[in-house]
Order: sequence, then C-alpha cells, then structure tokens
Amino acid sequence: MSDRPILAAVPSSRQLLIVAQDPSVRDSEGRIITSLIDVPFEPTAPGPKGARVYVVDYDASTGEFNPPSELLVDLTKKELSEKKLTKKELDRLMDNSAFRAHNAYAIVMRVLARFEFALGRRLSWGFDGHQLHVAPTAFVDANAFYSNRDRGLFLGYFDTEKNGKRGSKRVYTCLSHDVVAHETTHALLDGLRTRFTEPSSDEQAAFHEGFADVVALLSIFSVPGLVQKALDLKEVKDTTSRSNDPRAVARKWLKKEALKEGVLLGLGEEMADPNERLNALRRSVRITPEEANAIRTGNEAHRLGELIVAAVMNAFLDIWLERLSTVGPVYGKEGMDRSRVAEEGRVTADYLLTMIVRAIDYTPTVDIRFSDFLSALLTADLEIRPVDRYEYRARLLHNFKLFGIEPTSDGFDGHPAVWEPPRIEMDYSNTVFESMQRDADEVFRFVWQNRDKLCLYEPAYTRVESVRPCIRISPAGFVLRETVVEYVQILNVRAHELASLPWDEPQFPPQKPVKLETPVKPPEMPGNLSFRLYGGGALIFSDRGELKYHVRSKILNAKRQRQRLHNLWDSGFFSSQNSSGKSLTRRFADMHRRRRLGATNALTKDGPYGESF
Amino acid sequence: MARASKPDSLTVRAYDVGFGDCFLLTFHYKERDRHVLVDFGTTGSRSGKDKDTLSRVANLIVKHCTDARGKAKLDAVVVTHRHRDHIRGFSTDPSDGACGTRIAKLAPDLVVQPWTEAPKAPRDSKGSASPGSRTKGFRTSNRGYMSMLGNMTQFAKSLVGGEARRFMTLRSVQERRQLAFVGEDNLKNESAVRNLMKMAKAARLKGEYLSYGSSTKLEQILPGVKVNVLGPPTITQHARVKTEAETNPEFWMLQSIFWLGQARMMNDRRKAVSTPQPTRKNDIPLSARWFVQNCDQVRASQLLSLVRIVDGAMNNTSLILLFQIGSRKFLFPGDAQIENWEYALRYAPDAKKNLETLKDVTLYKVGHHGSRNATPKTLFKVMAAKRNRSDRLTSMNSTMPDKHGDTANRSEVPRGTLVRALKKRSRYLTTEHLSDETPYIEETFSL
Repeated sequence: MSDRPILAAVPSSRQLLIVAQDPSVRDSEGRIITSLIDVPFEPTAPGPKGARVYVVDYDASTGEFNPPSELLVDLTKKELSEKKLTKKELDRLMDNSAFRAHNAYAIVMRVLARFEFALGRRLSWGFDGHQLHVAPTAFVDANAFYSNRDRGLFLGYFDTEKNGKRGSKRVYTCLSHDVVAHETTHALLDGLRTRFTEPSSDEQAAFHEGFADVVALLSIFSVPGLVQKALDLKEVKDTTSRSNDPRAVARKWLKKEALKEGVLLGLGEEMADPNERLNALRRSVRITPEEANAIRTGNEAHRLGELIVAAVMNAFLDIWLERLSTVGPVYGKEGMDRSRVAEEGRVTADYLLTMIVRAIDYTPTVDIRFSDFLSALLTADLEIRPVDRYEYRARLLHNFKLFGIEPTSDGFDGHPAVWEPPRIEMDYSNTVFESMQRDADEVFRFVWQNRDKLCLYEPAYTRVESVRPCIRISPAGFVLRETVVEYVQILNVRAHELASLPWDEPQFPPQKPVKLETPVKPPEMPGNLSFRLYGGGALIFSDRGELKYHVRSKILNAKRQRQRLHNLWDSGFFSSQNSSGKSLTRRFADMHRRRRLGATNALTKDGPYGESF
Repeated sequence: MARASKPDSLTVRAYDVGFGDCFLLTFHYKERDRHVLVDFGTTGSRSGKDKDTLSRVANLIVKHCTDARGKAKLDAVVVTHRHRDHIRGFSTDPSDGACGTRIAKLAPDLVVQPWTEAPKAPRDSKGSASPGSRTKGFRTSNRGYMSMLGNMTQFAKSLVGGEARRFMTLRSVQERRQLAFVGEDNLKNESAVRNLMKMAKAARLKGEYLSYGSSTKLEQILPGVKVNVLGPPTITQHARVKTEAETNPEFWMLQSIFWLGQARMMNDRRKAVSTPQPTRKNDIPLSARWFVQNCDQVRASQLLSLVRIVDGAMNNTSLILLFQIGSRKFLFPGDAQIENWEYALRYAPDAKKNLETLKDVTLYKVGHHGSRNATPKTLFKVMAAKRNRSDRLTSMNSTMPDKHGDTANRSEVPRGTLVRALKKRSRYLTTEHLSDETPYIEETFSL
C-alpha cells in the first residue's frame, strides 16, 4: 500500500535507468553507456507489471521461471546516478535478471508513451487485451519478435564467439534498445492498423519492418545524452581531427557524411552480432540512391523497408545540419559547442519520431504503400505545424524522392505531396456531432449517408473499425483536436468475377467504368478460386465534426489490386497451407528469420503455387 | 554364356517398413536375376517394434536376393537421401537390428547416392573454399550448400538430444509429436552413413554420387537398362530462380553459418540445461501461467519450423532415378520435393524432353510417402494423362497414415487429395494394408 496522502499530487512521470543502446556500446573508460529516461508513472506490481506491460521472465528453452521482480527505482536515485556506476557494477547489472526485466519494461513504456504523445490519445495493442506480455529471456536464439496471438514480445538471448571461444559473451536482446523498440513498434502499429499485417504487396510487408526500424533508430537518438556519447566515441578514436577544446566539436564532424559515419554508424561497431541487426540498420543508412533504384527494380523485397530508413535518416542529418547552421560558431575556429550540437541532434530525432508516428493516422487502413506514407507524413505535420521553420517536410520529401519514393498525392494549396481535402460538401443532416466522436454506429450512419460522395463500392461489406478522438500538441503549444475514423471494405469474389467488376468506379459524380487494358487476375489463377479484396480508409474529422480528409485505398483500384493479387499469387500465398491462416499468426518470427537469411520474399515463400496437392 | 542384352521382366517389391521406403528391383535376365535395393529405412513401424520390423525385412531381402544355387547377391544399392526413414536399415547398430551387416554381406557391386553425400567433397563448416581440397570442380556455392546441409543435420541432432526433448513430453504443446518425428528423421544416422561408405569402398564399382544429368554405372550393372538421373541438381546447375541471391556463394555461406549458429546454440543450451531444472508448474504464479504456456508453444513452433526447413532441404537432396527398358519406365524419386523436381521439369535446358519422357511412365514410386508437395502437379498431369487401359500408370506408395502432418492444415501424409487423384488416374498400390502374413507388395512387369 502506498503511504501517499490520498489527495497528494501523483507524479505524471518517473525516471528509470536503461542501457542507452546495448551493452556493447561503451564510453572511453569501457563503461556501458546508460541513460535516465522518463516514462509515465504508474503503480506497478512485481514483474514488473503495470497497466500496459507485464514482464514474465520465463525461458522456454530451459523451462526456468525467474520470480517476478520489482522495478529498480533505486537505480535512478540521485546520489547513485550522479556517482555513476562503475564498469564492474554495470557489467554485473547486465547479469541481473531483475535489471533485464526492468530494462525491457522501461523501453516498452517509453515507446508506448512516445506513440501516445504523438497521436494524442491512449493506444491499444493489436490484440484483445490491455497488457502486453514481455518475455525478456524467452529462448536461446538470436531472434526477437512480436506475436499477436500470444499477446507478447519474445526476446531471445544467445552466446557469441570471441577469439574462437564459445560462450565468452552472452547477448540479451532485451538489453538492446533498438530491438525492444522495434518489436514494441510492431505491437503498436498492429493496434493502429491491424490490416497492415495482411498479406498484400511487397511494400506493405516491408513497411512494418521499415517503420519499426525508423522508430527504433530515432528512439535511440532521442535518448538524452546519447548523441553526445556517439560523437565522443567517434572523436576518441580519431585523435587527428579532434578539437583542442574538449567543449567543442571540430568542424570536420559537422558535415553530412561525417555525421553519418560518426553518429549514425558509430554505435555498436564492435558488436559481434550474428543477428546482423545493427549491420542491417547501418546498411540501410548507407544505401545510395542508385542502390535504392536497384532494390526497387530488382527482386529484393526483403530490403524494401530499408528505403524508408534511408530516406528518414538522411533527412534527419539534413535537418540537424540546418538547425546547426542557425547557431554561430561558439568556439571560433575550433568549431561548435559540443552539447549544443548533440542537443540539436536529439531534438531533431525526437520531433521526427513524433512526425513519423503521427503519420499513421493519415494512412489508408489497408494495402499501405510507401508513397501513401509519405503523403500522410507531410499532411499530418502540416495540420499541426503549418510553419515549417527548419523545413522538415521539404527535406523529408526531397530524401524520399531521392530514394525513389514519390508521394501518392500531388499536393494541395501550394503544399506539395499532402493529401487533398474532399472537394464535395458532405451531408451531416442525420448525424449527431457528439456521438460522431466516439460511436462507430453513428459514424457508419454518416458513411452510409455519404457513400456516393465518399466513392465507396456499395456491394462490398463495409465496417467502421474504430473512432478515435485525439488531442495533439504542436511544438509551439498549439492544440489540435481531431477525430480519426478507420473503415474497411471487404469483397468476397471468385477470380473469374474480377473481369466484370466496375474497376476504378464508383466516382463522384458518376463516370463510365474504365475499360482495363490489363486484367486484374493473374493469368494462371484458376477462375473458381475465391478470395477477398480489401479496401479502406481513414476519415479525419475536425473539432467541429467536419470531414477534413478522406485517405483511402479504393477497393476497386485496378492497379493496386492487380499488384496485390499478382504478388500473392507469385509468392504462393493461395496454396492451402497459407490460406489456412496457420502460418500467418506468428509471422514476425518468420519475417525476422528471413530477413537475417536474405530470403527472397518478405511475405511468404511456399514454392510455386499450383504444384502442391 | 553370352550376356543377355536386356531383361525380360522386372519385379518390384515394396516391403512393409511402416513409415519409410524399402524397394527391391529384381531385373530378370536370362542368365540370372540382378537386384537393386532402393532405400531401406523406417521412422516408425506398424507394430512399434522398429528393430524387429527391420530385421524381418532384411531377412526377406536376403531371401529374395538368393538364387537357386543358394548364393545371395545384391548388385547395387541406391540410397536416395540420408533421412532415417530411408537409411536406418543400413545401420550396423544393434539397436537398429544391425541389418546393415547383413546387407553388406550381400556384397553390392555399386552404391549410388546423391552428390551431396560425396565423402571427398569439402566439408568446411563455414562453406568457404578449402585450398588443397581433393575435389576439383566443386564450385563454392555447392560447397556452401553442402556445408549448410552438414550444419543443418548437426542442428537436428543437437535439438533432438537437447531442447526439444522437454517439449516432446509437454502435453500442452500441440506440435510435440511432429517435433519428435521430424527431428528424429533428420538425425545424422551415423552408423548407416558409415556402413554405406564402407560398402562403397568394398564394392567392385565403388560408390558414385550423382546429380542431374550424371551418367551412372547402374547401366553397366543392368545391361539394356537406361538410367536417367533427373535430380538432384547441383547448386551450380540450379541456383533458384527469382533472385540472384542463390547464385551467390555468400548466400549459401550465410545459410551455413546460420545453421552452424543454431546447432551451437542448441549445444550450449544442452550443457547449461543440466543445472537449472525447469520450474514446476505449481511454482509459476497464476497470473503468468497462460503466457508461460504460450511461450512453450511459441518455442515449440519455432523449433518445428526450423526443423521443417532442415527436413525439406534434406528431402531435396533426393536422387530421382528413371529406369528405362525399351518403352517401359520406372520412376523412383525418393522424397524429392518441388524445389528439386522443378529443375528437371522446368528449368533444365532439356526440361521439355524430360516432360516428354515422363509421359508414359509405367511405375511411379509415390514421392515422399504421398505428401502434398512431392508429387508436382505438372509431373502428375504428364504421367497420368489419358492412356490405354493396358498402358495404365501404376503407382506404388510406401507409407503409414497418422505419422506425419495434420489433416487440419492439409499436410497429412499420405495427402487425401493426392491419394484420391492417384486412385482415379492410376492403379494405386500401397503398403498401408500389409500385414505379417503379406509383408510386401510384389509386382512383376513384362518388358
């Protein structure tokens, strides 16, 4: 029982000590770099177990269960953090199961809080339940994944080889900030857009991975003090170019390529990681626009997600440098103030992270493409921050284009690439404003009433999946209230019926159906094969209940459905094993393994369809 | 006495080994019968007494290879791949009935195996080229592939001996039977492998290790019989299609290292497991039990999916042999799955010719005991096309239901849809209904 007086103020957050990146990233004295992060305050039970996260330290490889432990709030006590733990104490801490559980809890909570702040509301996980289970030492494997069916994150551990000696170093993925943040992002994105895990295009499969990678990277760089540590690490190695003044960063480092090498790629260089995790992240940042083109046009679906990482992280560097350009050289020839350089980097990462997360509300609900994400990213930011002082949007757009990603929308009202608001006045006559902010049936009534204006295909099954009121706060303190509605359309068809659908219809006002030059159906697909077509969108309502945006992937978009069906057909999705759905429930485990092995298809590969009995 | 130019007839016997393959091909020549044994193994007999079953089958093989003068002789042994259900009978280990000793005594003149079993091929565990290797002509990608297979087997062995053992006893784990079965099938079967190497060394024509398009000394042993090797392709021949990745030796090296890592992790774990005992269920808090059970389930599924990859890879090393005597053709594809078959049927330069040749197969040994993906539909359509009644396809399946796969996810063996198609379009013979009184199927084909 808490001894706090009933009416005393409850703190809104608490500080917890975490491993800033992973135990391989150490300072010049060989100490593991740690950081104090803010997470929402909540009363916790042993586990740690809170309202949204429950750490269960069970190792399925051995059947061992570590008794639930309390959050290690003592580690954050002022005197301890100021004194700093010694190298030995920190190393010992990594072997402490209670600290590993604590570290996993803290990072999951931090990512959740970042998402909730960015989206301006409470978020649900992608499964039916409030608490995400986390198994910090789930099994012996260089793998970690989120499983919707099991309502949990499974974080493996493994021994690495050093100088030919096995087991000399144990790597716990629960101590790797980027791994925990990446898997938490899968769980959150699954809650925001459940249908992004449906088998669809190569880009949709790659999007989950690319998005989770970006969030993980930005999450690391937004940890207080980490950017400075990364700068220090690189400079310690390169004594020839160091500034004579320890408070300054030499000018040499304040260039895009140098920052890329020094900060983005500098972390975890020494990590002997068979998982190749950091190598993959580093590779993403190193992609050149020419390589990006090869990835898109060649057959490297498993690398498509890296394009998002490349575009965002290059924009991150551009914006960071832009912010620094407004700061004068404090130390004259010696360069700029070290802590200011680092802080500008942290602030840039932090805001980009908010932008990236916010974009999800402005994406279609099914069949996401990178181009949709780009338009969503720019629109969501324009709504809350019309004046773009450091040109975040322009630099993101420039870098996405550089890596071959063009926006879906041409833009509106002088703002390139943003979604266009509806041109037609909607009919609000039978809807109740207050209910529209929370009641799916009320919103469906609106959807039904305006089905022609919203260009929905009436024969398809239509369902409003969520209604989410949000309150978002801009960096300048400006408050934006919106209601975000998700709907889907589903059509059960047989392959032979595809030719007779009114593709690219309906439109408002009605037009003649388009005569398709290329059929939607893959040529080898049997006519009697039945499957589902999906369409759907997000409706963004203003605080006055007016429809601001309708972002959608139309169910009768011939080009998209053709791509989707061809992709599913080629990847063997329609073979019986996959259509039974069994292999899809824990697909992230499989996806991560495929990624490590450089497999040919990120979605599924079950042999050529039509050959199995 | 002048040697006969071709056999007059061929008797094919399928012995009841339960879940496994064991076929004896007896080519009847004027001067004497010549016997070729294709596989001999089991992963589970009908009686549950594998040792007794193997022993009984070994006795039958000896009996059927003995001529009127009482001389027992086997002319050649073909081992399609190294799965337990295909080679266990060659083991000299008493726990397997030591049948391998009896087979070795039949002094085969030739032992035929897939190229992946070649003992001289370098087995550098990291798949890198070993300078000074005695084998020339092996491209690095082939070596990487072989090294991967070696590491996969090592993984299966470590798995079955270690972590998987616990899951096999956990009633809450749905996949426990599958895990035990697939894992054990992929054990290294060292005794059998060693015995086959020994037999090859002692054989008059030694051992040969074949790949797609190889010529074989089986043709020397069987005059008048043409033997086409339709699989497995080497990696150099058939780096898979849609991506450049698999033509890259580094790809195979990556795979190989992955499996080496998996095997080592298993081993490390096995050593470590001896100290901490699994926590008793009652000691796990009530609030955590649901998730703990799911953790076990997740891990078992994960291991099963890994071991299934191993299983598929090993199946795809299967020899595919087509024996042709005049217009009669006998097809023995082992457990080859689609990835192995597709080279002969689709990607080989002479794929069209192969499809033409397979049109009028006389006997088809049903691939992989009738599983869903070992009889490609392309092959089936060609073989089972409308033919005269006298020329009807015969299919022979050595299998045992309820051992492998699951009807719920349409992976049961033998697969219902395949069996129905085979019954409809061929004369379907199966070992499923054999008993102690009739422990084998025997079919003679006039040539």
